[in-house]
Amino acid sequence: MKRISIIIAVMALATLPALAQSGLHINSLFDGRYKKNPYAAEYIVTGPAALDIDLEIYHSLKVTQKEQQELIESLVNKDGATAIDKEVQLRNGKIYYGFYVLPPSKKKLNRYIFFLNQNLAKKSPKNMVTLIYMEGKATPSQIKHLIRK
Amino acid sequence: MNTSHHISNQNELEQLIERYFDGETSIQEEQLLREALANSQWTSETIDEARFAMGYFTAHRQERKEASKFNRISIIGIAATIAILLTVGIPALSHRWSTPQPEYIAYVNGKVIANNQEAVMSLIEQDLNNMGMATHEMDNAIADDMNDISDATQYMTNELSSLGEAIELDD
Repeated sequence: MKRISIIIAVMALATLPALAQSGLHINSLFDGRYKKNPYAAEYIVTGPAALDIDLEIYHSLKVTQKEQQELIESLVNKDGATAIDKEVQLRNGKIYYGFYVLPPSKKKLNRYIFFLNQNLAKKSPKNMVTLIYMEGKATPSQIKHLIRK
Repeated sequence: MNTSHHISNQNELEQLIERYFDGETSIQEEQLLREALANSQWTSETIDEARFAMGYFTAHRQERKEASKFNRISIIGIAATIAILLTVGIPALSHRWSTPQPEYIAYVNGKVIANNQEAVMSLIEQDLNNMGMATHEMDNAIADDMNDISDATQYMTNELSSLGEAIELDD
């Protein structure tokens, strides 16, 4: 019985890193802190074929508070430094738009970050920063197609 | 040891069995032992082991055999059920465990919208549209930058060409 308990404990510990999507700075933003924030929105889609493409996780945040916007941008910057591919446009020294292809997860799933600061938009700017994290087998071109359609 | 052609009690049979396994019995005694195992109704651990060892499952054991057969069938049935559950059930369950069902949740301004696929997808569509517009804007900005570079290059080429012509005229 003791041995079974130890095995179960080891298995439980082994699954934690996978659930935590370890290694990303933005992961700390998805700890539930925005769920009750009246100035934020958080959308989560998990499961097979999320958004009808080969994604397992779609997790996004939209915030209007300045300090939260700055926090998100700083964490995106850190994760962006490890990206294997990226498209970034800076405006006034800040990220306006960023698309980052991150190294695959331990489960060999592709990981993507989108960042958009609509305060810096030329057309119809508004006080909103959006962060999207996606994880799945979908390729970068499939992800691009998803947002361009 | 009584070597007559009859074993009169269980104890006598058990002693004969012990002697048989010790290799001390004669051919006649072995024959006697076989007959006793096959025909007697005595039962004990020693006798049953001897019957199994010597391959005797005799007629008088029929009732017990029937019960044992029933038990065996039950055990086989249970084992088969467990085997089917293990081979079919666990992979199916593990597939279910490893493949969580789609879940749609949105927290908007402190309020939760749970398991409403249509509502959550509608919100996500807006996000994706915004991203798409920004992507187009960035593509256009890049195209504009390239045009600007191209125009500047053309301007520089024209300037150099004019300068070259002026120098030639001077010469």
